[in-house]
Amino acid sequence: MEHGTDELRDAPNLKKLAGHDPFVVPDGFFGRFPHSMAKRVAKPASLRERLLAMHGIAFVLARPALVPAFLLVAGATFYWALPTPVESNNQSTEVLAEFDPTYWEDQELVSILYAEPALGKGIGSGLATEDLEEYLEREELTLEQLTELL
Amino acid sequence: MSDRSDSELLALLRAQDTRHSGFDLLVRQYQEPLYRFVRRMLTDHDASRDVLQEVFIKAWRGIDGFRGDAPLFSWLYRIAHNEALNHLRTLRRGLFVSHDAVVEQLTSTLDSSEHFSGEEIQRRLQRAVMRLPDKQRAVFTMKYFEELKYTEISAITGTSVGALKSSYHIAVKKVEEWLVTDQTKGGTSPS
Repeated sequence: MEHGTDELRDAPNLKKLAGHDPFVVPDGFFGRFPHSMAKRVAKPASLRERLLAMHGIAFVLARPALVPAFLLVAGATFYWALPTPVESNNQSTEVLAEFDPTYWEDQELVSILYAEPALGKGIGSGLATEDLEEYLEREELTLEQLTELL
Repeated sequence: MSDRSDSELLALLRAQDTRHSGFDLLVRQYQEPLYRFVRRMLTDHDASRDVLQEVFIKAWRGIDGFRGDAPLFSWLYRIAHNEALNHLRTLRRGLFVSHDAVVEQLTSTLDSSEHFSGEEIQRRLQRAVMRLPDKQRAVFTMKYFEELKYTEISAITGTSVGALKSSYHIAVKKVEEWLVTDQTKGGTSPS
């Protein structure tokens, strides 16, 4: 026994008790334990476990910073994806610029205006629903003729 | 089962097709001494089993990073040592109380355990050992119960041999004193 005589010279009680193991291990524990371990390592590791295995202490240290970093990136991405007010106005202007009534055939124009009445607000004095209905009844008229009538 | 050398086990553990059988051999070879150490630190069988599982899981995950400049046994023992201390720290955090309260809890576990067969004097010895600060208890356990050499304990704990000798000397003195004090309070003499 290596701890032997010198170190326990002044500890007679400890010297007498050395070498006893009073702890009882349940029957068959050491037979079952390797099987339970084999099962545990056979399971695929979770994301957390894989990150820990790959990056170890770096992941542990960085973990508190991960949530704020993620929020920062997500926030920045969302912010950049939002159109600025100027861009937003430009987009409306572009839509209106593209919406040149003279470019469209009357029938197409009516369909568009019927589907998106808001677009009609930028044209002339604007068409009321009744006007549009009237136009629909006189489909054979061109837009110019209809405008003259109105 | 004959024990495999470190190099044999490591070769099995590092090859993709034999790593599971290598791990099985590793567990079978080291489960008993590691369990004994953890059990002496925690006293409770269930807690010791859980900690031992964590020890081997960590070994499984970390085996590729094991450089082999220390014996496999020391490396595993080191993991077990850290896990046992972590478990005791967790107990303390959970209880929001002092070392004494943890000692009290471990003592009551020991007293009510069906897995403790010692005579009264053995119980008193365990109670005295439990009163030691965690790190000192680990050193005492490795030296007194597990009979490891100071150089081995040094490799496990990362503490110098000189500091270990000093720590063990103080621990022996305290435990002996507590055994005597406990005995005079009405216990029986060591036979």
